[in-house]
Formats: sequence, C-alpha cells, structure tokens
Amino acid sequence: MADPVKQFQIEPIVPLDLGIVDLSFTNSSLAMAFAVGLSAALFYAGTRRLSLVPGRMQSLAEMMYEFVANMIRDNVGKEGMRYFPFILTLFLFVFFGNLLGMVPGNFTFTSHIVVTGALALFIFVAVTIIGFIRHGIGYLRMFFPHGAPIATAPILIPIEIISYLSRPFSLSVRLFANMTVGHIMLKVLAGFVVSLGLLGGIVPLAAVVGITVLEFFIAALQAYVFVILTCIYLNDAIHMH
Amino acid sequence: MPQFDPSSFASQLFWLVVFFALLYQVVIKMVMPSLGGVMENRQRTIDEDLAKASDLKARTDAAIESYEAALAEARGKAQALLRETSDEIARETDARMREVSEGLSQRVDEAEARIAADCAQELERVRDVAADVTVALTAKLLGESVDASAARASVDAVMQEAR
Repeated sequence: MADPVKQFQIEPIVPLDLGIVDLSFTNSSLAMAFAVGLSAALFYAGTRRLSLVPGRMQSLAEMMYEFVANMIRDNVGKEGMRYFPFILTLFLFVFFGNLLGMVPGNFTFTSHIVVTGALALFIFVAVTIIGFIRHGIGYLRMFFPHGAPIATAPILIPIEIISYLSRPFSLSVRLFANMTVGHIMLKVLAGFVVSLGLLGGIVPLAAVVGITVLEFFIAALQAYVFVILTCIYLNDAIHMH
Repeated sequence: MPQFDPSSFASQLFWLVVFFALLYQVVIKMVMPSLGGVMENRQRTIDEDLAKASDLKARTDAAIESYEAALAEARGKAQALLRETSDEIARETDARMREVSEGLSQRVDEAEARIAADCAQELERVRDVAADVTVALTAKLLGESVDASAARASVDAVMQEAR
C-alpha cells in the first residue's frame, strides 16, 4: 500500500535554490497557479460580454461575487465592503485550492499548515491593526465584555486575551486538519480497495465514493467557514462587541 | 508528515504571497471594475424602476382619492337636494291640507247652522200645523170651537213633554 501521506510531499518542479533559501516552484505552487488561473478564467469568461441581464457565465461570476458581498454585508455591514476585494480573493483562493485538491494527482496546498497559518496570521494581524486604527487604545476593551461586573476582570480578561490570541491557530488548524484528514482517509480507503481484492474491495470502494462526495462538500464548506470567520473577526475589529 | 518539514516552508510562503497577490490584482483590476460596475448599474436600474413604480402608485392613489372625494361630495349634494325637495313638498302639502280642511270645516259649520235654522223653522211650522189640526179636530169631533191660543199652549205643553 502506498504511503497515505506521500500525497502531501512537496516536489520541486522548477528548482530555484538561492543558497540561503529554497524558493523552488513546486507542485504546491503549481496548484496555487491553477487556483488563481481558474478564478481568473471564471471571471474573464463571466465579464467578457457584460450585460444588464446576465448570461450563463456572467451569472456564475455574479453568484460568487454576490455570495461574498452578502457574507460581508450580513456579518460586517456596509463598512466591511472596503475589504471586499481581499475577502473575495481569500474566498476564491481557498475555495478553488480546496476543490482543485479533489482532482486526482493535483496537490492540495490548503493541506499545509504553513499556508493556512500564513493566511490566518495575516488576517489576525490585519484585523488587529484595523481594530487599533478604528478604536485606538479603546480596542483593548475587546478583552473585557460590556456590562460584566468589575470583580470578574481578573478571570475574564485573561480568558478573552487567550481566546483572541488563539484565533489564528484555530482558523489555520481547522482548514489544514480538515483537508489533510480527508485526503488521508481517501488514500487509506482506496488502498483497501486494492488489498482486499475484487470481491472484498467493493465495500471500501463504496466508502471511497461516498467520502469523495463528502470531501467535495467539506472543500466548499471549509472555504466558507474560513472566510466567514474572517468576516466575524473583521466585524469585531470594526464594531467591537 | 511533509507538513512539518521546514525545508519547504520558504518556497510555499514565497509562492503563496506571489499567487495571492496575483489573484488580488485580478480581483482589483478585472473583477471589481467590470462586475462591480455592472452590478452597481443593475442595482441603480432596479432602484430607479422601483422609485418610478412607487411614484406612479402614489399618483394613482391620489387620483383614486380625489375621485372618491368627488363622488362623496356629489352624493352628499344629491342627498341634500333630495331632503330639501321632500321637505318642501311636505310643507306645501301641509299648507294645502290645512287650507282645505279649514274651508271644509267652515262650510260644515255653515251647513250645520243652516240645518239648525231650518229645523227650528220647520218645528215652528209643525207647531202651527199641530195647533190648527187641534182646533180643526176639536171642532169636528166635539163641535166646540177652541181658542187658537189655548190650542197652541197645549201643543207646546205636549211637545215640551215629548222632548
């Protein structure tokens, strides 16, 4: 049976070793290029012939646009629309990264903690900066909920600080773990199909089919969760709670 | 697991930044102006149409309202006219009735007075006739002539009794 974690192996395609750092173009980079290319192709096809009443591709592009726009409007409000381009980029990047990862042989770059971690950390830092720009030092009131008795401060403030600081970890680990586990499970079950032979292999084969459907669902859902949590953090920074 | 192998981190981060920035540029340069523009345009068209529709609706409502008001006014006028006319008719009828009944009662009074006078006159004549008859009968039956005034007195007494 093939090693189930071998699919996460980073393989250089165009080696680019600068001595101090290795910036090789890898299978992960190629998958990112596919995700970006597919997003760009979708929006290129959708916006080539724009009309007031949309055609098929324009509808699809508008649906994605509206989906993200509504998410921001509902969770952050009108002020959040300033960050719409970033949120849309984030959604497209993660969504197509997850979905293209379902294509056999294609690398899933969202299954690497360093990628999801970098995205989450960037969001965390950006949201914190937005919070401090908007509210100044008053943003620190985030760590003490309104209306709580002052005596609870010694307990509440550390809890709030820890929960705030754990945001980038939960955000990145959630996406990374979902993608990694799903793909490992598929590989392991697919391995059983081969090792159990023609008759016994039918059961794991059915399971693989079912889990493949589930994985498509999770790919979309986790992209949604990643972006909606970003919106919620942004909302906290803009409106506080 | 390859996820925890730091040797690939630099390359992954580098290409992540490159491609994320590239996609961000695509969104900023291509998606936002075209799609954002057309959707804004559509929203504006829809908003304008809605505003026009609500304006037209307001005008329709105003027209209906003024029609209703005119109708109510006309109905009120007609009712007032009707009431006035019927009052007038009633008044006229009353006056005529009173006039006619007054004339009638006057004529009834007159007739009654005349009947009473006639009656008294006739009664007087009956008395004369009765007296004459008494005188004549007495002369015929008893062969005595009765004084006319005595006969009259006895007739008066009998009539007084009969009355």
